[in-house]
Amino acid sequence: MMRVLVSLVAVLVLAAPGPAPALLFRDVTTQAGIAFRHHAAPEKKYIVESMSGGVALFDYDRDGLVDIYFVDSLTVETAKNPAAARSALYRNLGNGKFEDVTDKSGLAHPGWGMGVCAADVDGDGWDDLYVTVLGRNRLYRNNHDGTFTDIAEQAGVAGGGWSTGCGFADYDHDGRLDLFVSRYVKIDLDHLPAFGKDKTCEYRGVAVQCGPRGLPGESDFLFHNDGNGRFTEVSAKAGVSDPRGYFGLGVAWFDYNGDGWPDLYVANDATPNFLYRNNKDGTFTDVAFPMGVAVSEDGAEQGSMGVAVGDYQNNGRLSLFVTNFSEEYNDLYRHDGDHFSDVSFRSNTAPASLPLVGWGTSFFDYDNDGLQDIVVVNGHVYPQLDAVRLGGSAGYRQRKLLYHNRGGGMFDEVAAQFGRVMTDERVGRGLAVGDLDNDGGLDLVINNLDGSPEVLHNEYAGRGSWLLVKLTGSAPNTDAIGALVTVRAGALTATRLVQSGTSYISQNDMRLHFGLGTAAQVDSLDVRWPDGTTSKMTNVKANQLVAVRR
Amino acid sequence: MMRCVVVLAGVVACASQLALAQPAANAQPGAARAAASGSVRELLQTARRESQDGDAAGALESLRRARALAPNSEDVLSAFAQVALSARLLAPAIATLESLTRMCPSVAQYGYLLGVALIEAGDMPAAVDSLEQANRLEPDRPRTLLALALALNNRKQYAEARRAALKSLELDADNVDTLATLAEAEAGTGDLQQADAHARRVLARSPTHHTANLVAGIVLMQQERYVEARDALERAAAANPASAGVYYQLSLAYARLGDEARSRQNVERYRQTLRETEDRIKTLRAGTSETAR
Repeated sequence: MMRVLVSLVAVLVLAAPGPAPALLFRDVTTQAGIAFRHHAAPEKKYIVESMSGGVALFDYDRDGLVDIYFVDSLTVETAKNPAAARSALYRNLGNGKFEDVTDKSGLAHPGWGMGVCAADVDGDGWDDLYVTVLGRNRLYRNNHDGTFTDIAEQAGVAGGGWSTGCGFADYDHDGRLDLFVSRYVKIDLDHLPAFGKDKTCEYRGVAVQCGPRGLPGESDFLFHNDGNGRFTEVSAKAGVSDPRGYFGLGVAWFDYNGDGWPDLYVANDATPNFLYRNNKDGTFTDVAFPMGVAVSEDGAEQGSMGVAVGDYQNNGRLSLFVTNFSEEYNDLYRHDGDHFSDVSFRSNTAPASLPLVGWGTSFFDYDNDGLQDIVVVNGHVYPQLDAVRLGGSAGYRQRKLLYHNRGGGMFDEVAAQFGRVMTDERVGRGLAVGDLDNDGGLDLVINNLDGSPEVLHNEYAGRGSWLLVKLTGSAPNTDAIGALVTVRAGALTATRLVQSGTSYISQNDMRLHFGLGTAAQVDSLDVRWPDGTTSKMTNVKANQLVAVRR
Repeated sequence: MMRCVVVLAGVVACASQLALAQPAANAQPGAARAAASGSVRELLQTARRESQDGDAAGALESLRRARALAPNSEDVLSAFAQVALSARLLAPAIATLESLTRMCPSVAQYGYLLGVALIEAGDMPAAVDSLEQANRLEPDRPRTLLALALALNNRKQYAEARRAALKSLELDADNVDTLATLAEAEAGTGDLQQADAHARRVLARSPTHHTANLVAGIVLMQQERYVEARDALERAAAANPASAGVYYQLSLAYARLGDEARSRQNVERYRQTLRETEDRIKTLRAGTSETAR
């Protein structure tokens, strides 16, 4: 009897559940009323069915709550019927609920949607939306009444071909926001490369979609804002046209050298990335190689998808994080003053990323400890991989990566500590970070390929104090895109940048979030506006949203 | 990938020194091994002589004729694979070794040779699989462990590469290639002090060693000692002019020294070498699978 009891106790002990994972994010997609679903052909026989779509967080109705726009895509089968894909705008109602206002907004059918970025293009104080597509891109002007009008053709920014990433910045300091659009592969839907047609359309012996290697690449576009509602395409003149046709995806404008002029980083798939230094005369020079951000540390061209910019060292220097294809690794390019260093392995961010194909990414301080962490959403491009697990690559659906910044330039990959919401496998693409409920915790919104999105609300109990900063610049750049804010709170100094675009063809909440640890107040808050002028606030109480006007 | 070539050349040379037409010691007798007919035996002996005389083409022709007579003979296939590998005819070598590993799944040597061939062909994931299998079958072969460490370094699995290199060094402490491979793994994991120490030990014995100079250069770059880094990297480039990665590092070294012209020049050499390497791998993989990315 005793032996039986001992055995039973042992069984009970063995069967007892382990400690529940800590709660960081709660998936609130359904309860928030988000019913959007991204569409793509299930077999992904063509590369054009694997690369969508972006997601934007922006406050289209100026009610102080960020709203969500998901980009949907067509398929080869539905390509001639734009109504087959329905992108969606969700209005944030402020009570944890969102309302689908797509039909009223006029944003439902941009076509074969890819990416998205936001900016107040016409300087009226209301954010407009640019949507990249396979075909003619859309510039949706905000009509201030919940509706939008596509003015891309008349504005001269419709482009063409296969556009992917986008971002606005005032590159020439004329006060107006200009637009960069990356493009990927030349594709003709009537003459698509046949699935698995030859050796260039195989992955380790398995027939897969063709490309991007073996397919002709597209050039990129820079549109100069002329200020009269019209843009002029100046790519070649400015030196950013990408005449070699690298496979452009993620885009990030940022002033890497601190000279006050926005520079431009472009993540290219399977080819070297660009870092265009602004020459302050309307032209740019690609300095990615000498700056050490073109390829991996050992000189390998990588399949780069998304890009994030952040001051993870809290020294005022903006570093880069770039997501890549599987069996490469995600690059952490640390800003070292006059160059960048690939510290991906030294920082411990690389190893966990090796089996995964990375897409949307962002620096963000999820626990408000004052140090910027990193999130990455992942997913392969070949569903055929699930039939044959190959080498070190994970399957088609993949988990997320969450890197906790433990200081000293080191990270720990901690996704598994936070349960299934982080480890469930999806086919992630677009990712946007923002504070959906203005509670000081950064939330995540993810657009999953051919599936339901995820709205992940930050409910971490151990969060520190915080400050959310909403800048209003002088018209026409009313979002103050390109502005830098530095806060000092005790020993903490942190810098954030207002950006249009970034991540993987997505738009983060443009308000700036600062985790403050245990600080009860910010000693100083310094703004460097896009035109170089500065503002300062002192003794700002923590745990609030602060509005700063130029 | 090219970083491995110099080291692997040595490994391949060693492999080719195996007695031609001698079946692996622990090969299983049975159906897989066809009894060599008289003429097959003669052809194998001819091939051995030709191989010893450096006539790889002649040896391969003799072995092709032997294969026509005894297509499933392990002796013939083994000899053919080794000669093809020595002659860097990777596609036929890989195809033959794949047959041999299927026919004789318990023979570690075939897994090892297949792994080496796959490294040369640039298919690192398959190389790792094959070498891990060979290592399971015969755990204490330093050559297998070295090849495995090389492949793992190439896949940036530095922690695993380090373990394999350390184990290999336990068994063959004097091997400078293994020591250099260990240094590369340590540099990859960020253990710069150890990487530097091991690279210097290699360089003390072999001052022109490609991998050791490359590792020394990378460590010096990280220490911002750019002049010394440039010199080490130039030595690495001289030792293996087909290494694109070295030219990339050199471009960074010159950029940080303010020499933009030489930085650009090395970017161009990097691009050219990279394209040449890709073309070479494409040719090598003509009969095998290739990735679209």
